[in-house]
Amino acid sequence: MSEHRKRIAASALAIWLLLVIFFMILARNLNLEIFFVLWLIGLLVIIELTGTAFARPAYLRYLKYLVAAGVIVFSAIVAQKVMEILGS
Amino acid sequence: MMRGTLILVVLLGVAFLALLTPAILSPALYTPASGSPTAYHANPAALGERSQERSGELSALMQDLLDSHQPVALNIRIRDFEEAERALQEYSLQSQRFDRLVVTLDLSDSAVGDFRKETQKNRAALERILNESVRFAEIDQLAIRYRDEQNPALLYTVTFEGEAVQNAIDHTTTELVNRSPDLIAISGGLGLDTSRFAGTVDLLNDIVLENRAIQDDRQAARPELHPSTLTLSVIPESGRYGDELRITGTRTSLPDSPVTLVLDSREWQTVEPDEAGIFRTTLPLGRIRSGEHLLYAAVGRMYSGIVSFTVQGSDTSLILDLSPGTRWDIVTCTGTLTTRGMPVAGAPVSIVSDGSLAGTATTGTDGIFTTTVTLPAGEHTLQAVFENDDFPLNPSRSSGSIVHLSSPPGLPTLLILGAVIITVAAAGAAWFLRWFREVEPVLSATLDHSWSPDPGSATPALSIADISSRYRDLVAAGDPGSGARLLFHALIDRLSAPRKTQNPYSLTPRELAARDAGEPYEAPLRSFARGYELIRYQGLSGGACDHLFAAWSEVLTLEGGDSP
Amino acid sequence: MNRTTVVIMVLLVLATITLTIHFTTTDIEFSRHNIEWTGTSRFFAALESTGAGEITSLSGLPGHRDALLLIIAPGSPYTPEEVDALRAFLDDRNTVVIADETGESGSLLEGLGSSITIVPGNLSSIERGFSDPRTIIVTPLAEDPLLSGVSSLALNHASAVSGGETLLATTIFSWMDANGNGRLDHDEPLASYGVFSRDTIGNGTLYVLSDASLFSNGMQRARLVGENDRFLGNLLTSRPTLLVEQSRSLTAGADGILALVLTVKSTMVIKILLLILSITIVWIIYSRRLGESGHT
Repeated sequence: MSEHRKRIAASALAIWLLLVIFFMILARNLNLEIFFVLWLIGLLVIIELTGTAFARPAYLRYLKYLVAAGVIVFSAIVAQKVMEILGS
Repeated sequence: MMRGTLILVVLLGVAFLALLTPAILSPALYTPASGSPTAYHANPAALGERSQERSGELSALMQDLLDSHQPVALNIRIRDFEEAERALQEYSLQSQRFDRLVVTLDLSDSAVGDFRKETQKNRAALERILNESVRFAEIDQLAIRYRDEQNPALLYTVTFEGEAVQNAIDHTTTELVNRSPDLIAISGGLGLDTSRFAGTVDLLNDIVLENRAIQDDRQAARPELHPSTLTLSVIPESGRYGDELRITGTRTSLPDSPVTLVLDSREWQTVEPDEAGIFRTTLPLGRIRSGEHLLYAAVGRMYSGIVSFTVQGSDTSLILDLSPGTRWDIVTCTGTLTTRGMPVAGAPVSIVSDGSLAGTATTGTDGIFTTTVTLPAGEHTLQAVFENDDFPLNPSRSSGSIVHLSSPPGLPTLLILGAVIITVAAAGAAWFLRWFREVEPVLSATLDHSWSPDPGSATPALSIADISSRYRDLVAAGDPGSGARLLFHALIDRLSAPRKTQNPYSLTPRELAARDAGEPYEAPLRSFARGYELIRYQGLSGGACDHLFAAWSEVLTLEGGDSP
Repeated sequence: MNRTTVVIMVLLVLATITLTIHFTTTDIEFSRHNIEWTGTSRFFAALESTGAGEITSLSGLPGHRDALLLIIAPGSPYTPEEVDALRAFLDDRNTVVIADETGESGSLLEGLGSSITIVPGNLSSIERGFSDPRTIIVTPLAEDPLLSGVSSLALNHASAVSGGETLLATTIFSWMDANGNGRLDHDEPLASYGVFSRDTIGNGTLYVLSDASLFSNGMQRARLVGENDRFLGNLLTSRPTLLVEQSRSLTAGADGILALVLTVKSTMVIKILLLILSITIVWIIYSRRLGESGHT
């Protein structure tokens, strides 16, 4: 069961990112910040959906560090945007 | 194999992030505006769709302004001064509208800007001509009245006033007429019809000629009076800004009355002659128009001859210094206005930013002016401009100074704010990690408690008697829930022993009863399950606990083996 | 077919599409193979639908009657032989429309003996379609069949045209931005500049437009104030035969693999060889499959 879930989690994230890139190309606006934020959202949603209530499989155990790092980078982006708005 | 793929993925990830690092500072990798103005064209998708088609409006306004001179001049000519005043108001309104449009379209530095300056001067000139013409008409009325009253003295004095007023009108009109070829050239270059304006110039010339004719008639009809006992002289007869003209006069009769000096048809000063009848005063050339001026003295109904003097224009120099103001968007402008080394006092100076008016100031007695202007963020070129007809000074501009205004909250505040946000996020991330680590040991404790049944032994760790006493202690202590669980676990130990079930503790009492359906102890087991649920989930106690214990004992009895 | 194969097939298809787009388009300005805002692919698609002929060498010109030749954005000066060919073309009662904002066609205009010249510069106006002062709007000064139904035209970074009979001009509130700061400075006088002129050469008519960006995709996709599409429609339908110059015009720009692909498409021999090759491969594979199934 875990192999299957792993594969679904990874492909879901990959498809989500491909969709995001597709729409970015369609809109002719490639922005790294937007891409990063959408990636983080996708990752959090997938972790929430695939994480079981009582067991934490090996592949999800190390993801929490990645999520923590992502949240810190996200907060840096937010801080930068706030500074931009206040400065204008 | 897995290891190798994982290492490859990690390496690729690191390489990708390394390639991305330069983009971190400019995350907008591609927008419609990037690569927009090429050598041949700009991307319309990247430009604001702010179309601007004001040429027609601008042309129409300029034509209206040019044509507005005529009604004013015409009404002055036919002596309908109220109508002329109305026409002048209309001119002023249109001039304001035109000013706004020129500033909006940013055309101040062009032929359109020159047109604006010329028409503004014309408006001021027309206003002066109108005022002087009103006075001239009043003098006409007075002349008629005095002639009817057979009052030669007043007629005599009125004639002189008329002369002064007529000269003023002449002067202003000549200035306007001399300027008109420039305006006609600019307007022609901009495609405007200047025929009506040319007609206005002719009209104004006609006005001057008519007034001159009237004045000449009056002069010719001037009655003879005994020689004037009032004389006046001005030395020198010309000067520049800052000079002082000495005015001297004598009065041979009425020694006790003060003498009124009238400059340019306006009362200027009253002087007292001394015992010899000589009066002196000085005229400092300050805020006075350049050109010819007329001066005469009057005592009661006696008037001296008119003396004229000329004020010549001089060049000025304007210096502007900038310094930061109390707030980030305020700039303090200080400067001096001087002419021939002398400071110019009381002169209005305009501060112009990027071609539009940002502020005004007036110079003090030392020629120094100070003011503050508020500007939006960005780079601006500030310049001080002095241009005023009330002074015999030529207009001048200071050299442009560039000022750069940047965003308000100081950098330290923003850095602190950013650091706070990141710290909060880091704290959140740390809490998140700790929470998972806390949850894990509890869960893993449950997981580690894996039950492996021993094939031979059927004896649980605790004996039945121990369990019973333990149960009673727990119920007495008020924790029937834990007691029920203790009984249940004992049951599982007993009933699962012969079977090699993986993790039997995951069974609920109902599942256990369902699993052991068909066994002799099925009924009490079901009863036990019900009682267990009542105690554990409904929180019953008292009688329910006794029922539970009874059911448990029965199950053990029927199962065979030890019983309490 | 298991799931992995499906995913791989989808990814391969996507990759093929991307590669095809990458190799069949270019980013050369004004190129007909450029689908971005700087290219002219949309206009050329319209051209092809009206059945326009392509002139890849000016020696292929003679023999046309009542035709309109479009020269869009010439990239290099014309040789005297080409100028003679064009003059002969004009003499045959044909029309030539040159759209050039760089002034490269100067030698051509001189050689044809026309009084029209292109004055390159940053023509700016207060009459503009977007916030850029160089996106000017021009209005007709005289009647012309090409301008029927056109009350104004929106241009994009145009130059000026002098000489000939001016058909389209800016308002009088326009200037040449000499220092490129986008604003009107005191040394830049206001004047009305012409952008579209007509001249008679021999028995034919020569039109010169000082902006080639009209034909670009960006200007076709945008919502414009002027009647650009009407004007382009007039160009396409004014004469029974429509020709497009593709030898010196920047619209023929192609580089790298695209040039290779175009040569292959245009050369009959290579196309036939490729067809034979592909048929052979398919036949080999098919016969091998048949052979295998026959054995078992």
